[in-house]
Amino acid sequence: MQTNILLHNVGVPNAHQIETYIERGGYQALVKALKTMQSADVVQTVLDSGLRGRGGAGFPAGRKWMFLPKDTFPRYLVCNADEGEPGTFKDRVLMEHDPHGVVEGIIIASYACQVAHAFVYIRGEYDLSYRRLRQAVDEAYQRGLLGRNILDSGYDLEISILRGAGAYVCGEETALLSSLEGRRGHPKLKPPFPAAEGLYRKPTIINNVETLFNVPFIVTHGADWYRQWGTERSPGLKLFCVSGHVERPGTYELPLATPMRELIYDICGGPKDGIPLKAIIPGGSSVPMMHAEKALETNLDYEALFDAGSMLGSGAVIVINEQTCIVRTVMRLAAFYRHESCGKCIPCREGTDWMYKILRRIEGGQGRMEDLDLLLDISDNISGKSFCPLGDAAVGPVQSSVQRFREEYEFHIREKRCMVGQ
Amino acid sequence: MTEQMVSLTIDGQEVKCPAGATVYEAATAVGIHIPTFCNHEKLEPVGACRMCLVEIEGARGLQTSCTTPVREGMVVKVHTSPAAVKARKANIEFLLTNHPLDCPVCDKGGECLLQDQAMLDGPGQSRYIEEKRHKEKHYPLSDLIMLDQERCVLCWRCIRFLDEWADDHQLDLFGRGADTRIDTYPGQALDSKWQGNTIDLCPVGALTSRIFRFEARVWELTNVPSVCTLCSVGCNTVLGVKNNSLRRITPRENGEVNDVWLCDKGRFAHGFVEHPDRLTQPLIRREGELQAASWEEALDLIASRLGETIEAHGPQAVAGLGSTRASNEANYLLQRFMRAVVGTNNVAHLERVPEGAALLASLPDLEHRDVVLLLSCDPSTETPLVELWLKKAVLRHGARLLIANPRRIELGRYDGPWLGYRPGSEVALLNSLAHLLLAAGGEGPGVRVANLDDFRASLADYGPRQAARLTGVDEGQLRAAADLLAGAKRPAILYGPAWTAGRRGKANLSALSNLALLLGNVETGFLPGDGNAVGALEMGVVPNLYPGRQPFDDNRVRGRLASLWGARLSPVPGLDFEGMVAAAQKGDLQALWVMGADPVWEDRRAAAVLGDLPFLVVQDLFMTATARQADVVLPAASFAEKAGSVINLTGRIQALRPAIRPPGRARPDWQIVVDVARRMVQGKQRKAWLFDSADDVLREIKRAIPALRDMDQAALAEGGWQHPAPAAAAPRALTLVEADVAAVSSEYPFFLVTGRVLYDRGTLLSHSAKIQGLIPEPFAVVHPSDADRLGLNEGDEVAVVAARGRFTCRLRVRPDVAPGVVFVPRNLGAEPVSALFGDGRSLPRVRLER
Repeated sequence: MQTNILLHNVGVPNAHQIETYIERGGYQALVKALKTMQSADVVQTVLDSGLRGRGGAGFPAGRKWMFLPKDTFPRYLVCNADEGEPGTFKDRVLMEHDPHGVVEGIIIASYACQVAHAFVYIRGEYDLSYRRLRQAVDEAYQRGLLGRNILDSGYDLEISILRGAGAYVCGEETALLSSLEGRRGHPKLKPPFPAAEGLYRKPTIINNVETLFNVPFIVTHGADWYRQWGTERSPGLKLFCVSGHVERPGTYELPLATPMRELIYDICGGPKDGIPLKAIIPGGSSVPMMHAEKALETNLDYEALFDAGSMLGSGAVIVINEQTCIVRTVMRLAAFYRHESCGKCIPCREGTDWMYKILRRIEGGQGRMEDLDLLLDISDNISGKSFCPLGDAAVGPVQSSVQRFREEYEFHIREKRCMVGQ
Repeated sequence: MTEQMVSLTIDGQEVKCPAGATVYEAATAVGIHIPTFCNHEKLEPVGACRMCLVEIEGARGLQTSCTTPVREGMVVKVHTSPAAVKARKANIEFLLTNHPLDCPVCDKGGECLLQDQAMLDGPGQSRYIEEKRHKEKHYPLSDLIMLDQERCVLCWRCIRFLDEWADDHQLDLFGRGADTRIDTYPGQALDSKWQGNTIDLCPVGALTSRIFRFEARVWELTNVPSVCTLCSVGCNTVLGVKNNSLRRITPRENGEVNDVWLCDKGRFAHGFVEHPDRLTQPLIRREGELQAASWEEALDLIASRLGETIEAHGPQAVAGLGSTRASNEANYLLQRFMRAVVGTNNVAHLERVPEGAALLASLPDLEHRDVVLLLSCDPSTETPLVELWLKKAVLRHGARLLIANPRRIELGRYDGPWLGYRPGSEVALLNSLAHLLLAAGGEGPGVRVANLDDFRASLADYGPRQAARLTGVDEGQLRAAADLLAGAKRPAILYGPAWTAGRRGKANLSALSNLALLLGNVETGFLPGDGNAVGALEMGVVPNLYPGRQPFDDNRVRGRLASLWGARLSPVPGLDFEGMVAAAQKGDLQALWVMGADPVWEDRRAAAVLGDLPFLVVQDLFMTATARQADVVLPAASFAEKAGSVINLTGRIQALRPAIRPPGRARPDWQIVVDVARRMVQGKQRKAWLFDSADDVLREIKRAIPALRDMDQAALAEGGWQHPAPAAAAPRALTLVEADVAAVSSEYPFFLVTGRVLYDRGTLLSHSAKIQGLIPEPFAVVHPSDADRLGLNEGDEVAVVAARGRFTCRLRVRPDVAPGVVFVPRNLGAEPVSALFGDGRSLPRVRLER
């Protein structure tokens, strides 16, 4: 069942402006938090709600907040708006259509974490998102919702917005911090984890846009309300961005644990032009690719997708029909990861380059059967060995497709042409 | 300090190591090899290369051992974990996929970590059949370093060294992923004086030396431990020799001196050793021309001419000039020759460590100083390793460097404050700091002094306002400096030859001692310029001190030395170099033996006088200005060609070892002295002049200098032996010194300040062919306010004019000299600036002309 709670402002004229936002009930959660709750109450509420990070890793937000060392100030909150995972465009919808919802989420989360300075690191290519967010922050300052003594509560908060410079790796939290500090976007060693020592070596909470966007709803309605949806370990509502071969691609809001079949057939109108589906990547380009029939039998929650051999990731569902060449698709994805590897560690830097070159060769009709095991071995040599998760991400589509669509690779190698004529 | 110990298990082996160590360090300590590329003991760990992955029980996935701290009870698997072994093998395979595998033509071959690791653990055959990536090869990063981007494994040790140690952010990563490259910034040079160390740090052949390029395969080199003698730090080195030729110099670890580092001058400026202009045979002046002669002829001539001179004019008509560049043994024998064979105390050397100057106790201890006052010295150009230790103090511990110098030296880039005083106002400057310290604290020094009240009264006229007028230093800067000193917990004061030179030198030194005493008798350290300045003084090549700085007028000392040397020793005081010049002018001095010094180049007056001297002997490496005027010129051996010892600026005695044969018939300096002496003595004395080796000479030096009695000669080649500094009693009284501030002249309105640049046109560097591109053209620096007033611009050709000389060069306009000062490097032009303008006593004044 599609819901219209998170996206209730999308499509409403001028909802990105503060007047409309407030008219439609905006900033009431902030008033409630500041006037009636201690920051620890907010943390507890979010912890109880079971809200998990929506950036891809799914780490419980409340638990992350609890990692902040007591009595270490200043501390920072960073809104990760560097939405770069191929197939993912949910944060953009929120920032473009409901930027005040993002700002309200940042303010409440900052209040909960006792942060006086929050940063938004926004993907450089997201121009409209940036302008909308910029405007929302300016409006919030004008209304006394940001700056000193917010709503006479004694709480102060500044928000700075910085634009990324086009590196996918800067969506990784430590690379993001490096970039935010003005340095090369390289991931940093963990530990120390950012919650202990992050931006400018101070305790830092980094949350995805959608995660923060959920916070005002949870504060307004309570943890139990939020838990009416989803499962014990995957409670609440989630945005899914569906792309590829369906009749109505787009961003949809669903309770977690909604069946994939319902999303693809009932909500997105089924396969485009009725052409049967071959594969689905359920959580953004870096999660393992699934046979479509298997994916359609799975529910959209963290546990179910993990059990089925993939991941919920960022909630980006990429739908691939029978007329699409898997080798070519994976080669394109490998090219992306080769291009985006930051170069800091050997396995990712060299492995992504090598995998891409092999895939390109297979695609070009120069493949050898032993290349398939070689791809799997290279995947194994990157997986878990790279400095940051980018290496694992690069492995996702390659490893899963060679394992699950091996016959298509073999056809390519044997016949020196594509199975589907691409 | 007791360190907490932690027990863990590595590959089944029980290991104990200090808490805080990394797993890598714990394993390495017990001989378990873990390969690394990015990790280096002198650099902060980054965990980038993933070579050192190990399995740790209970941890999710493999962990980088270089970044993982040990924990009690930890169980680590390095070579017993199939997953870790596979990961490391895979990493080598990854690196080799795009590596050019050009070991046969790579200078790093033989000392390359990738080569070693590939041999140890790499695949026999490659699974990589794709085309290799192409990047820049033979890409010069500077005159000194060649980059091969294809060989680079992107460990960024080079970048990190320049950032973490040299603080010269001149290399960085460019591009991304597989296309990442090391490079300089567009339009900006790699000119760090420490860049050579990146060659040592580079685990592969990406950064190679352009000086050593294709000179040898490293396994062909014979490696001889040695010591750099280009400055007084005495960095420990290894001379790499092939076919009797010095091919390269690399650093040798010594935690008390240079750690594992070496400056680029010490590393690369060795071309002079094999320059074709080296003197290779003795020369005798015949009919006005210096002509080749045999050693027999030359030595016989010297012996007979010196004998005749003593006969005719007495021993005081003979003098010897030793050198801060010659070994202890040579200096010792020269003074012994003059004292025991000739019978005169006329021995001296130029650039001597001033009387009353204390040596620095320890180089590594500089790291733990919180405030260091640098008085008129420039470690960056004079004693580079001192700069590196000071940078460590600044970068690791936030030390402050207070620069008192008419020039904002390179270390002035840290926020100082910079006290850019006018030359001649040194005493006023320190008196004002003392004034402020006493005014602020009120309670005076931590040590008791007798005359504090008198001293306080004598400072009445050195309030910050008056001092600002006297010194040209802004009042606020003076106050900031005094505050910094007052709050310092472990300050130190370093000063250079410029502080103690000239007529005001003695007063300057007193003012410095006062300040040190006021701060609680803090350590002061004199930083001499030349390689064996401390040794020359210690060996007694001075008219008023015997070896070991033993008093000349002490009969017991004289008696002991007389019996050691088998000769009667003259009690008549000798002449210093100025005295020698004056005596020569009057005709009292008839013969001078110059060993490894070039007074004619340094001093114009000496030039005029020495040319007319009846008999002048010079021994040196090259045909110097002094040698050109000599009657006999003797070819000497360089540091690489002889055994001997030198003493560095902390009093550490270190050994030189012969690595190659001297060119032609050149001989070690000490040998030449013995050869002459044995021609002039008879009987018992002849026996006293029997020396088989430099070690033999050193054995006698140990007997001559009581403080060296316990010296372990074998230790000299391995880390050296620290001369125990005499425990100086804290002075009981402050010295009242009046500032004698030099007046400004209207005709010559600028004070000339000279100093070193790292690469100059001195005798040695100008004969090192491959580094000529690093030596700047002659220049002069003035403050923008002076340039504006005179209508002069950057790059103008100007003449620096004094009463007795003029010097043409290009002008640089920089705010890093004090107004009213012109800075001209000492040895860049065809003539030395000090000789053109100075008499060594008073402050040189100049004007600028277009």
